[in-house]
Amino acid sequence: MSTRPYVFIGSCLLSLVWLVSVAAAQDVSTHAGKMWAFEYPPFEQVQQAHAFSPDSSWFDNARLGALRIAGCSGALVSSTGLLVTSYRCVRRHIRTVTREGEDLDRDGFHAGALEEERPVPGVLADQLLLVRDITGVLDTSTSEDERTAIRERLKREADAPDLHVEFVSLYGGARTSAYVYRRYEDVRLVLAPEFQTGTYGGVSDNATYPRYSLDVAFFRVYEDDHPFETENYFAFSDTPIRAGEVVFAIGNPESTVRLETVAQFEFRRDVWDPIVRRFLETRVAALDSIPDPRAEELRFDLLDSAKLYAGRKQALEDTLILRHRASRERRLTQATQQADGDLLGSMANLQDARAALEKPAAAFFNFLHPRYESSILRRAAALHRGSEGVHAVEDLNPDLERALLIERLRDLEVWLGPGDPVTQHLLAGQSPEAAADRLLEASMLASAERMMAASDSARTQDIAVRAMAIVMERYRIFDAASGALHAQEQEVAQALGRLHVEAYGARVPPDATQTLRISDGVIRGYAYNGTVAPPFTTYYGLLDHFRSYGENSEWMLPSRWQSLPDSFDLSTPVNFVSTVDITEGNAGSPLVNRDLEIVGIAIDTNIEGLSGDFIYWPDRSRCVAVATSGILEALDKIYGAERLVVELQTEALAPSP
Amino acid sequence: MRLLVVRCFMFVLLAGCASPKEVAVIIERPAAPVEMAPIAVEEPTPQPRSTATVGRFDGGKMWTFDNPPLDYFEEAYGMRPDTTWFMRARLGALRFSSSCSASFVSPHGLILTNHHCARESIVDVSREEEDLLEEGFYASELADERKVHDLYVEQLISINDVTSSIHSASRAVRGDNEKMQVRRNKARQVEEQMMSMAKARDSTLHVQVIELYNGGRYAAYTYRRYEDVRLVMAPENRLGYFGGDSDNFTYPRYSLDMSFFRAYDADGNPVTGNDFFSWDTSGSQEGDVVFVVGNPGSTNRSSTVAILEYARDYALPHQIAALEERVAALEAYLGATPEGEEPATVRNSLFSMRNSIKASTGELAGLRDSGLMARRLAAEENLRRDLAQVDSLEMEFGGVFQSLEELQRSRKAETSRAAAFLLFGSTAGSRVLTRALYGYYYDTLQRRGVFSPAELEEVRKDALAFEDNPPALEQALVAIRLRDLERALGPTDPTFRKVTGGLPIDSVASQLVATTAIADSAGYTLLLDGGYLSSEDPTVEFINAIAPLYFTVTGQDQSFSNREELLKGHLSQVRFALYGTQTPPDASFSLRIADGVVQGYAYNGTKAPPYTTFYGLYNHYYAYRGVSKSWDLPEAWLMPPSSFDLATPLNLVSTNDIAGGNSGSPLLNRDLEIVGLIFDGNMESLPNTYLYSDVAGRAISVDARAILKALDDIYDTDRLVLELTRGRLAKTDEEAEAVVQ
Repeated sequence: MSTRPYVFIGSCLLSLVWLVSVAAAQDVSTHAGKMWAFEYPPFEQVQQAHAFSPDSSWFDNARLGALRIAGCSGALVSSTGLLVTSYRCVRRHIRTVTREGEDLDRDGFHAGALEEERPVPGVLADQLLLVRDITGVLDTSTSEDERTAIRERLKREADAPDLHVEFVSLYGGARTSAYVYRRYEDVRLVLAPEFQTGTYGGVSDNATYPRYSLDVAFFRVYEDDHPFETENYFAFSDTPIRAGEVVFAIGNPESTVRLETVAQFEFRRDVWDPIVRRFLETRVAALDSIPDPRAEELRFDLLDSAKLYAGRKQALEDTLILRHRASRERRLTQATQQADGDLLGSMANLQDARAALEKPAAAFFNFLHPRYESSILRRAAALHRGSEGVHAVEDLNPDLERALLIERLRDLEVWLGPGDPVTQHLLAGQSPEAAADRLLEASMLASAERMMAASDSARTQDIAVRAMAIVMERYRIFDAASGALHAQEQEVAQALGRLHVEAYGARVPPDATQTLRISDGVIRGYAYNGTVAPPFTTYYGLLDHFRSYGENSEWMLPSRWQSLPDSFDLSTPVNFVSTVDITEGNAGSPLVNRDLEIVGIAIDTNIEGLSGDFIYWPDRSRCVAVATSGILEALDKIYGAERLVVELQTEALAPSP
Repeated sequence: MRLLVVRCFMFVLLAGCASPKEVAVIIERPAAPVEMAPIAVEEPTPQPRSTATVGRFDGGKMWTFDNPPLDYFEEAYGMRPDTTWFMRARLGALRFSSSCSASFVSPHGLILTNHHCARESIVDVSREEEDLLEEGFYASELADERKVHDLYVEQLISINDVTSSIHSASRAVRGDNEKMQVRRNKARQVEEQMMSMAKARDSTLHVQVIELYNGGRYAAYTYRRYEDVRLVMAPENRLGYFGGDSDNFTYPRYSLDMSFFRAYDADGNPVTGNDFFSWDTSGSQEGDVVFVVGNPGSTNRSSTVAILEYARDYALPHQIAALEERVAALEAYLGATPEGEEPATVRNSLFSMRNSIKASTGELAGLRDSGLMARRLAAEENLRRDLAQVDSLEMEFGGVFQSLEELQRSRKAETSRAAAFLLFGSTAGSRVLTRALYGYYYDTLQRRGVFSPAELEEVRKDALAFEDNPPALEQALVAIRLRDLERALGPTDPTFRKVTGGLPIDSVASQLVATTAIADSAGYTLLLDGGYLSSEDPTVEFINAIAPLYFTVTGQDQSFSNREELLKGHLSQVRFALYGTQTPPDASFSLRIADGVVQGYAYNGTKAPPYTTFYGLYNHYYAYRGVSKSWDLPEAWLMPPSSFDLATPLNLVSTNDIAGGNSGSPLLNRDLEIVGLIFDGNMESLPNTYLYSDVAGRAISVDARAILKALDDIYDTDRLVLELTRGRLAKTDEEAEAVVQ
């Protein structure tokens, strides 16, 4: 599962809109999926689907054991703060704890003793202590002072002043919730598999099933330099996994747009997604064979995203999905006529207006993004704004720097046109390559060292800074226009959202908002490739793939996996699929059974699930998870992680030997 | 590759025209076309664009032995095989019975083919209390090898072009049916003449005249036929058909779809000194060139766009819809039956129908792919353009495209009634009605007295071959047929009213099934032998009402087919005149050689590997346990000896162009050694019947290394291992073991 690396600096284009379709309630609720919010627990839905009636304390426990980790999810699995998540989620952070002479990508990491657990700066874990529907208490007109007061009140209620309160708009802003988090900042690495095993099958197998990936890592949460003691954790299940079992995914899905209007859908299809795909294609090509770890990592992520967007493309071009939307919308038309004005018409007009901004939107896609922009332009922008943050910009590998700069210049040239003042100023009639070389040669912002050596006046006179002034002027115009449209879109979306809530209440879950959700499902195969995919895979399949694709493939196994101990049971399930509804951000989510025991860790969807941003298909969308049985077998027999195995079985830290 | 998924019968028409098709590989009756609106597809079918370019191998790579593409082989693989090479390839390969391929793999007549080709043989040699299909078979001594009744294999000895004598016979004949008839008669005549000449030389020789390029060419193939063929080894069905109907037509795959036979001479001794392919114990590698030598059954690559559009918009969708309706009935029946009590015959029919749907859906997907149609259209436009350049051809054949388009229009217009009879007389429908139809046919033939007793007996055997369906299912299936009739003919149609008597369909169906004696096979045998039509069974009235219409519809369909064949023959003559033999002819269940490369492909969002291994076999066993029995393993496989290396490649994919009939073909390296055994094609290869593509279409083989490994470590067949690796025949396993040590 890829993490979604797109932040549109100018304005957030993810607006959330719902449609009312009274007659098609069933249809809407099926295809809108099952990402239930904890403030509206799905008592009825779970009872109906699974003949199981969890009470509110069950939901409280489910909520408290699951943590949010930047862009991902995780779960506490022992009373002593052990935290499990997906390897891919924290791969970058694992690298930061690497010491001289170590290669944790190649060898993985295992802290044999508590003292060897390594603090990982940047990994934060949020526990959701309290959720509260505060619709009516807080809206866009609420002042900052009032907001602060609400925050303080909630913190007092939770009886812990150091908490962190977030206000979240649901249903396009028709509802507002307050989420009160406790944040843990001392998180240490306990065990991570090798890169090859953690991302087994590489980019090729990403977002596919059958799968054989040990995409899992263990951390420990510390409090006051001691393992965090808690009662809110999920025990590892020791019953074998079986098809038909009911499971729940608890995690933080990032975003979905399942209830947008047809016009919004078409805008994505015709304008927005093509911009994103072009960005991905150009960067993947530009970063090819740059011998630099950062470039390789970036390219790996870009390829993952390219796959996601290829899946989205299919979904956007799927006339069935469009028809679903259109039929809902026909019914909505009547409802909105009775309501206030032609909301759908307004939304369509807004999309047309956004489409008119296609060219600047493409030219400035991911503009100045810390991962995708050249350092020279980011420094120039920082200086232009008044030097704040300019020193935080690190030097990149020269090939990477040049490649990123060329691509941005090309974006500007292609989308703004050769006659545009920005293009004329930056490229001066040269090719993007030549212009990039000229800038890197002439500007003192090309490296941190040269920039430090330059005087303040030399900086303001720098060729890149002067060029940036022109670019920024242009960018601001675009940003203002885009921002204004976004604000209007939010208003319309909110009105539509209100209609939706009136019609359905919380029977249809809100679109994902990177906040904690619980999704119910069943372990089940599906029709695939002309046959049926099995409910789970085994380690036999891992070895089959290693042998089938040969050495030096994405299915290469680390050496310790090539000579397994006799006791290693190859028939142990390693990955499995279920009908729980997940998306980006759910990676690392615990999959728990009715008894709130962990049976797996969500890592991805199948290829059919890539349409999940737009629709949930009960018959073919699947969540792919690592089975706890597979994790335990590997910890025990491959990694010799006895300490961890004991902790997972006894649910508490093993005493020091 | 099981293409004979729904057993359908080609009724010999009562209206005369009694010669069966020469080649009866794919005995599926062409789907009766229907006059209805085209079935709505989810997306508007994109209009073909003629901007596409024709691929060099759109027509495929099923090369004939009298015209191998030497220059291409040299250019592609840096090899220019000589005539000896081709002769060895030809003489090592065999045609196995009437539907498969095989090869000699030892100088003592040892034969390798698929398990699924051997199913009937295995059942045939099973003795009382034995279930060899389930348990597998191995003759540990030569004397234990079991003769299979009526099984023969054929080795291609020579090919003679007989086009001119057949064409000259039909040149002056007018009328499509008549022309085709004359050609078929002439072909049979040539065949008989050559056969008697050959037999005078050698009694084991057989001659078959084969139609190529839709009658554009005719060739006489002379075969040596081995009529004493004995079963040597077959694995358990669970290995031979691992993954069952679910995995059929798919890859990655983990099947040991193999079996061994031996040819014996007239004196009852193993054949010796025969040509054969030796075993490549080190196997192939990804990227290796490999050759398939075998007998592909049929392809549709010379059809025009108009024909394909008809298949796309009418024939295939309606056939699929008709099958799906019946599948739903079977599923509903099985769903209401307690677990463990489902009749095997219903389950088998269901699997067969699902497979048929799978195959048709795969083909339809190809036709709905605008890229495929665009390429076919481009090829057609080229042909039209080139045809227009040659006055003599233009004069004679210029109207052929037009005629084919008109024919498709007639098919659509003329066959409204045919919708009533889709799948009629097949295993997919009501057994009661099928038996009634056979009863009508058999009785009528007897009354006419034109058939010989032997021919009549064949019909009787076919009629009695259908197994009983449970009454509840029969009712549902009869009702479906009645609804088909109502839809096609209209509720006020006299025939329909005669059949129902104006009563509701469901009560007619339940009444019929409850009162007929032919729902039961014993009752049917009695009625059939006692004169079915003169009995008072309620089905007689029913069949008397609709059979005449059925035979009219079928006759009409047959004459459309004749005309289409003839016109396609004209087209082939044009292609032939313009381009010669640079494109191989459509498959005709005769020996071809197809080149290819071992190669994975893009699948399921990732890449399919070139090889699978025994590890994958076990992965599937454990992964589906408790969900499905299709991936079950026999006891003997659960505890393999430690010498059994699970990393051994088990199945592999290559880009060779194959079709049904190629099952059992050897997969050979450039030195003509066995590296694999063809047994199936993947889903993506199904549209290859219209246009060959190696983007994702793949042939699937059992890897030669897996065969040897399983024989050695699991089945402990020392005799076979010795013979395959050293070419030595041992009479017993003990003898073989002694030699090895």
